[in-house]
Amino acid sequence: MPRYMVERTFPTGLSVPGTKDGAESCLRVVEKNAAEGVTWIHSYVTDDRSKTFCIYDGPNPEAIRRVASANGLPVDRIASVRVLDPYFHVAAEG
Amino acid sequence: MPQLELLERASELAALTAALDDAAQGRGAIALVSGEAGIGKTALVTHFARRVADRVRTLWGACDPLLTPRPLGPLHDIARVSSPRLLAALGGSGGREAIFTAALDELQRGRGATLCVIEDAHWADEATLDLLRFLGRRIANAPALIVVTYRDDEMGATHPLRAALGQLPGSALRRVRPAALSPVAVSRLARDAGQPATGLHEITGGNPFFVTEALAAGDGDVPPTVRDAVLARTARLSLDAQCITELASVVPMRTEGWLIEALLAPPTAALDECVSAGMVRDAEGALRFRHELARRAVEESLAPERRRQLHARCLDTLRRVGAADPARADVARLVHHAEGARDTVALRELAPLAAEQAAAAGAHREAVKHFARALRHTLALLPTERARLLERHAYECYLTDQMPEAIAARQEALRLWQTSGNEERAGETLRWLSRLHWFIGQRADAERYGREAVDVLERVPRGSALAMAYSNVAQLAMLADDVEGALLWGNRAIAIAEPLGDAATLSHALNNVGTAECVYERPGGYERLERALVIAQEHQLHEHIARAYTNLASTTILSRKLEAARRWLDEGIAFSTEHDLDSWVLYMRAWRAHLRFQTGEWDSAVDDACAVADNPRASVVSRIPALAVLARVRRHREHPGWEALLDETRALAIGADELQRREAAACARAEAAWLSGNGERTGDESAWAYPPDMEEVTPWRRAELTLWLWRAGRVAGPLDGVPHVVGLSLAGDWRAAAAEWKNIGSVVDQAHALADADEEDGLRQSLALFERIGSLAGATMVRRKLASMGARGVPRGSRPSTRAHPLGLTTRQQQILGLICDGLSNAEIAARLNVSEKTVDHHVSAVLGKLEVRSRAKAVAKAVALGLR
Repeated sequence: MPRYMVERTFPTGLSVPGTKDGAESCLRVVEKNAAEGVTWIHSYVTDDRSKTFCIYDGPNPEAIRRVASANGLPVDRIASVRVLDPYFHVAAEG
Repeated sequence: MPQLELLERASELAALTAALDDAAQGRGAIALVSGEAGIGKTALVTHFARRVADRVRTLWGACDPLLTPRPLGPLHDIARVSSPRLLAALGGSGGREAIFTAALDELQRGRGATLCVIEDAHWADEATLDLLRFLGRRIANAPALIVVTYRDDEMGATHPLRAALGQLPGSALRRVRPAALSPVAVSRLARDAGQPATGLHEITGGNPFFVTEALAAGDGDVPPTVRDAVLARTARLSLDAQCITELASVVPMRTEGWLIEALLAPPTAALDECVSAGMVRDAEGALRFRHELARRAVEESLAPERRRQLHARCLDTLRRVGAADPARADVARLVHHAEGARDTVALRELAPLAAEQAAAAGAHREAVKHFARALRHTLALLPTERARLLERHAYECYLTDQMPEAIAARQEALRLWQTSGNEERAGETLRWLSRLHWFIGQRADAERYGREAVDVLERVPRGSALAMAYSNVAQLAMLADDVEGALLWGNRAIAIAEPLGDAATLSHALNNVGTAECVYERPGGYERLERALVIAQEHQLHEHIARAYTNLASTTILSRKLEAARRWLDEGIAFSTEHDLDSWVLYMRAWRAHLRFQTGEWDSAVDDACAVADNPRASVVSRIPALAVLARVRRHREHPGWEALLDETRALAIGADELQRREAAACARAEAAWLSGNGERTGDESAWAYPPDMEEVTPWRRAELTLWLWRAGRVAGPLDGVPHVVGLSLAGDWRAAAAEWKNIGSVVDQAHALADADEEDGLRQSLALFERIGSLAGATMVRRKLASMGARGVPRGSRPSTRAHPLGLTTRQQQILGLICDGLSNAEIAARLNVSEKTVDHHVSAVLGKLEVRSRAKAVAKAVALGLR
């Protein structure tokens, strides 16, 4: 399944409190994602909480967008990405 | 055998109970219970049904593992046991619609809720899958829960059940997947059976059926496979009882008491012995294995000759019994035993009967299998008999999308008709070969066969066959935008069909002629197309009705009458959905995706396009526009993967070899290149789709392509034979061009026209439009141009429209909500936005739906409360 990086902007800042409510709202997102076969791997959040870079597995960009809409999350850009690990980098053969 | 306690199924039972509670409130659903063989699907559903027996009516049907299953097998089960009315419909002459409607009525009968179980749907015949689709689309408002069990471990990606489930509305589905038992549960079962649990969980993987069989076989050692466990159990039976299990193992359904009696006349004790060894006896005295795994284990242990003899004896008895009471000897069942007995003579007689029965029920895949079986055994038949069988086979193959097989059968039939000198049949067969070759995207062959059909049929007395051959040639001409050809051949067809009162051919021919005329905007074309629709409606010709809607929509889209197109599409899709004409629904949804792309309603455009692209049965002509729209939206939004989609679209369009398909692919590719700022590539991508003699192309068909060629500097204005709005752009009047596109309703074209401006004013308007519809790529392109002109103060782009609305409202819906809050009526909103009132109605109800309110006043209150205003 392809992996995507989704860039989001939250003008008033993202708020996911470190409480039970925060955890629950994350799980609600995960549940809605599942309906479209989308998996949220994890996200990087800027210090000012205005931008997030989220790593997702999903069947296609449309599914990523649909679950974003179902979850009320903004979408700026979606890029198809691969992992590059500098310490385990293997040169392609041939 | 004592009923084992149901372990570790609390959450599954709770899910089923919740679905049933909803159903009792009138919100029905389909619960899909899936898992590997032996995981306990039937046990779960049986337990559930018993628990709710006092408050629901239960209907029970099962699909069977015959070589070729009985058409509508589960429905026959239900009717036989619970519903005389349904039985009457099944035996009646009302056809599929009457049967399906009766089934739906059955679910809505009585005061309380109904629980309907359909077991083993992985074996379902095609008609049963159609029934599921039919019920699934209507279940949401019925007081019924349909529980469908199936083995998902044996279903490949192209399994028909998978496609059928994919076409059910997701909101109507509940999924239940019983898991393997935990080690704790397995040891508890072992303890209850008084046996050691050592190795039991590891070997059985917690599969409840395997665990049960292993414990029942129980001599301490765990048998290595289910098969070993089952056989160890049957080996301990008496000889009489073993004979019964062997007989039952070749009958892949219930083995009736009278069948056992007629074949074996066993002592009662032997029957009881079978039951105590794990077989099940139902209310009517029939025996069956508790699980298909067990049946198969016993069947596979039989020596081939022994198996053949058992099949032969079953066939013999069933035929004798069937002569007196046909209901007892289903022909699909007879075929199964005839095949098992390798009885060629019986197969030659029975297989065609089974095929016709399956076809009449709409089980076309099963009909194909029976016809193929019949054809294997009828090489020695009279040529004309074989040819007729081949034609029937070919038609069923065509209905099930097996085009190469259909073509092969028609070609053999053609040779037989030619040898026997039957020119009329040969001509009809040639016409079919033409149609089939068009379907697989081979136009040259389609044209050749089409003309041959006409040549042959002109030599015999004129009739419907010739009219249809003419209309087929007219259709090929129309599809290639050849208006003269369409008129010539279409009018010949009309001249024959009209006096004959052949409504189907008349509607077909009027459609071809009218469509071709509309493409060239000739007077009378639209009226002819509408007449094709009316005739089809008067005679209830469903396919022809759908085809008329389709061409009314595609021609109005072509000439950019977008509101009219929207109306035809909505009506056509509603009609085709209601009548389960799935391929027409897909084709029209592909067109609607194109329309919604132009109007900037991209979320709904993507919904339509994905519905087509994700459906493996969508035809090439549906896939092309759908993939083009998906690619274009991805390109605009700067989502990945558009390049691959564009390549696929072009490959399909080249194969289909019709300008209208090439145009869809070329415009998508040209636009993508243009958005990247690559003018050279834009020109190349537009040029490949064009025929060398492009002056002869109808004005609207070359509208968008001409604009890309002009933007790329490949053509210069003024040009003859282009629509007015294109002429405006070519003359450099971007302002007037943009205004006209706005009137037409095509936001994308409007934004591109504004981007052609060479002054800041137009470019800023273009930027605003691209941002409104969520086109990152369009906005970037215009910003680049503004920057190169030295424009200052260009907004960095907050991209408000790409931000999902908290309630999931689209840009248009947000705009409408704003106007509702301002107190405007629908008529006023329609006037303000320059769209029809009907469109506004549609948007307003969508807005109310998403806000989950029923009135405008509540919508305003909620919008204010949520801070949206």
